Amino acid sequence: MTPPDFAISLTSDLQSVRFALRDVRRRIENRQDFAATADTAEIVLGEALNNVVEHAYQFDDGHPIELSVTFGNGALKVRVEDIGVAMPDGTLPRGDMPALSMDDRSALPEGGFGWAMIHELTTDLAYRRDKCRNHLSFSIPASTTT
Amino acid sequence: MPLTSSDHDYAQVVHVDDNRLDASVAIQFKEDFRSLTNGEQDVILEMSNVEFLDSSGLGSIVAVYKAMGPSRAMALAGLQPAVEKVMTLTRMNTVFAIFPTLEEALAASAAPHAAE
Repeated sequence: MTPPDFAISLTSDLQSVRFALRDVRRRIENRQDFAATADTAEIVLGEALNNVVEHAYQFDDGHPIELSVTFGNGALKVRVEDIGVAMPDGTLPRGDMPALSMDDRSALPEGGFGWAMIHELTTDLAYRRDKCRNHLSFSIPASTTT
Repeated sequence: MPLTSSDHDYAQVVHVDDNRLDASVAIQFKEDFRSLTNGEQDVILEMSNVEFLDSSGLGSIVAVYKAMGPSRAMALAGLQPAVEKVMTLTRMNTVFAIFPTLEEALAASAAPHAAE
């Protein structure tokens, strides 16, 4: 396996996620062929990293998250790894976009959009639990326009 | 979560000063927005500073919209491309009236009162 183009280590708190996303965005914008993909990448990676903080580590800070990105042929290849708790049932959460109750404001969903956006914006989405480690991987097709 | 509020004839404008509305500030946004908008007016959320919105930030916007009760409208104005993308993906652009600029949102808020 070829090494990633860049890897970022962060810890499990939401401020570290902010810093990491800024760093990732800058690195992607510096690549002319992927600059138009920066918004999508930030959305997807934000959801993936927040999920690790909130669910794998349950907001307990100071735990490691490893992120790596490879500039592939027409797509960003991303891996996210942590040593928090496994996904429920050991599988990826479903990616259905929450239904919107147009005629009942009080029933509008306030959550469930994160995984739906990850599913929508990625290909090759895969999760596996290996000993004590969560491995999430996916590709983000390069956008040709912003 | 710095928010700035101003009253206009037919709407209250809440301007998000921060450039990110994400998981790290979503709870604070909800609390601060609610304390600013405890009146009866419709609200325009002015987001031109916001470069990034995640699902938690979106959830917080939906939460404060629900907390306003069924009779007050909320419009969004000045969305940057990454924010607009989240609104479109989640179809929340079908729930909220979205205007390119605050001026257009204000004009729309005044339109039903034009005959008064």
